[in-house]
Amino acid sequence: MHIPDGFLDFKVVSGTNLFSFLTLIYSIKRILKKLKPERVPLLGISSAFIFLIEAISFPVPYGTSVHLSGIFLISLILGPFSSFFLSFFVLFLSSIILGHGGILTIGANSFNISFIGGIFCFYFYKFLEKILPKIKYLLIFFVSFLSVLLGSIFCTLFLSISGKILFSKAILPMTISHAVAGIIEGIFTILIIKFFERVKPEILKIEKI
Amino acid sequence: MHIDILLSLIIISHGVNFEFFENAKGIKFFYEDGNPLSFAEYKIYSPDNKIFSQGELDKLGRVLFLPNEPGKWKIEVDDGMGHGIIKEIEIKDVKNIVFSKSSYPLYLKILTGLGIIFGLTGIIFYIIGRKYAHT
Repeated sequence: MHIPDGFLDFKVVSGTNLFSFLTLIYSIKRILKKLKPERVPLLGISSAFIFLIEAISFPVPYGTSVHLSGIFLISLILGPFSSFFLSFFVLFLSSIILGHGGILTIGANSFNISFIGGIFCFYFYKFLEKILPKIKYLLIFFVSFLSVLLGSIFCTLFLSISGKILFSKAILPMTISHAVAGIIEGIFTILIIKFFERVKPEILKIEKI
Repeated sequence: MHIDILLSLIIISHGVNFEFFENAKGIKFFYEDGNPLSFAEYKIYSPDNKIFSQGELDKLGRVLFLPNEPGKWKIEVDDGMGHGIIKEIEIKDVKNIVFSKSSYPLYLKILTGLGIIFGLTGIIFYIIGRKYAHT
């Protein structure tokens, strides 16, 4: 899902960058408003965690390679805008250091990964949690899965708008390969949440920004 | 008789010959987990930015690179699922192609990234801490 430079056309690059940078500015404003010193190390550790798990890829069907994102997990712990900000920062770092994704395509990549996983999925989960509070873990699994799947659908959409691939031809392999990643992401998110609930429950009670 | 001669001429003119060549350089494309970009689409652009060669990588993610003139060549590889690379290769002498070894191993890149993250965290922590201490 890390789209490299040169794979998207001008209108997609400019549209997604505008959206993502506006969201980034808003996120930074929200974070700075309530930023306390004790929250800073947590932000640092979370971004290191995202950077680390995004750097490790594993093979899936259709001969491609995917990785976990952990963005929805971070949004559950720190909040949607913190998650977006950290993910955006990690995407920038990954593009420079690891060559994962491009600099100009950071808008599209942060939309697919940071916005979908961090902001959209957080509020969607909160909405589902209100109507179905008894199946919390199932919802966490489902929304984690959705965060990966939706991101891959938008990635396919951006590439097809740019004329790189045919949407009808690419959508099936793209969603199947990322569905596998989504299932692993869902299990991983539940395991981490359960771990914190048992070992350090106060982490989950941190103010969500 | 005339028809026989004409037919044999047509066959000869449509004949396809081949010759083997040696010392060709190849490029292998693979994901970070080491798996090859099997059958991913590639395009090779000559220094004048025109397509010189295109097609699919082989099962092991390989393609032959045979530039015919010096200059900045470009190779674009796309697996059709958002993964790909655009690599520029500077060719000085087509008879003696030298590839520069690509970058550092993954663990060093990860360590660099983590170093930057923790370094920045420390700086921000210091700034915010000072601000709070003053207020």
